Amino acid sequence: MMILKKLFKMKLTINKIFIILMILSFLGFVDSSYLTITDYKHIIPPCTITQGCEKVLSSSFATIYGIPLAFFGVLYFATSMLLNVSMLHRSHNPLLRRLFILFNSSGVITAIILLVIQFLVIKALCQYCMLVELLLFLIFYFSILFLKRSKISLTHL
Amino acid sequence: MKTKEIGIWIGVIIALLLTFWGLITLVNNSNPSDTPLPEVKTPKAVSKNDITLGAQNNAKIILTEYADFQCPACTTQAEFIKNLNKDFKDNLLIVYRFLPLDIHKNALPSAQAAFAAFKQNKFWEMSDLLYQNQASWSEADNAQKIFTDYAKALNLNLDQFTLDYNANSTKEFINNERNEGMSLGIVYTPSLFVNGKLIENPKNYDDFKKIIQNEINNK
Repeated sequence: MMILKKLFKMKLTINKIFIILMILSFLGFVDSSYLTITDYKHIIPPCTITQGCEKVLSSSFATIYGIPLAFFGVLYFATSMLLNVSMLHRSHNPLLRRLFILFNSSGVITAIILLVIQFLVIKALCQYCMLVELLLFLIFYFSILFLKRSKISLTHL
Repeated sequence: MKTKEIGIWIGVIIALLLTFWGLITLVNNSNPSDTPLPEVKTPKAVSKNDITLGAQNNAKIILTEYADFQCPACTTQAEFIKNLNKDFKDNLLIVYRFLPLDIHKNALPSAQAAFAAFKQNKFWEMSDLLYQNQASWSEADNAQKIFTDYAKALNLNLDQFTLDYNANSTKEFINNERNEGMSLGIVYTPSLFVNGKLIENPKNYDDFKKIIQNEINNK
């Protein structure tokens, strides 16, 4: 949390924001990949007295038409990294700017939906999923900062 | 597109592929002994009140399982244990002990159903049905009705089943086993003990079979 506070207060250059976005997307990629691999290998974590990770990961919300939700996370974060690279070089391309903000907004909306499902429907929290949701919020925050630093008004998107 | 940009794109794609491949290797090669097991006490000795399966006399190995019917990981291990019973019929005694977790809505009712079936000598058959159909009753509001249907499918005396299901003695038995498990220091289900020693939950049947075979060889 201290690192986050420092990050939010720092006057970051566009290159630094790019690096932060790449690191966040990479962490999301690793987390989602791990969940996807364990899902396909049928490795189910044991049920602990206090946590509900297995409850979340084995719920009906963990798959869409048989495909683990985590796999979509793998694709999302991989695309996010490639989109960040594109934005670094072509941040003035209006189509790319729209795509960048739409993509990251969809991520934060998904994070909110997943949080609601965990808190209100499944009534259990999974630390791996919570990490992904935190990353989606942070990516959204830094993508807005990225656009601001590249002197692009959000109203011009 | 500039050469530098192409270089970064290729670099990112290679990094992603390598990371994914690295994770697959890591999961495949992860050694259970890398993860420290929780410190637990030895479970109490097998008594005539225990729910058991397999070699009743002169068993070389006693496998004690503390489990929760609503736990997905218990479903996986239950399948392995069933196969162990076939493969080590003469040497293995399997002991089931209830540890329904508070985080699971129907863990206690499912344990009651299994105990009521035990009273009519159909515990393991009910256990199979509970695990096989876990998804259909886990969050159900009418769990007792679903369990009564299972009892019917097993040709149990339904009046007796309902009586035993609701009996205070049933809840007491389950709670005693649960409390005993918790007092050992168990923090997750299933917790598996081979001859009183906690083992890491095997990832597949072959690993589990090796553990039992090694234990038999060492006797």
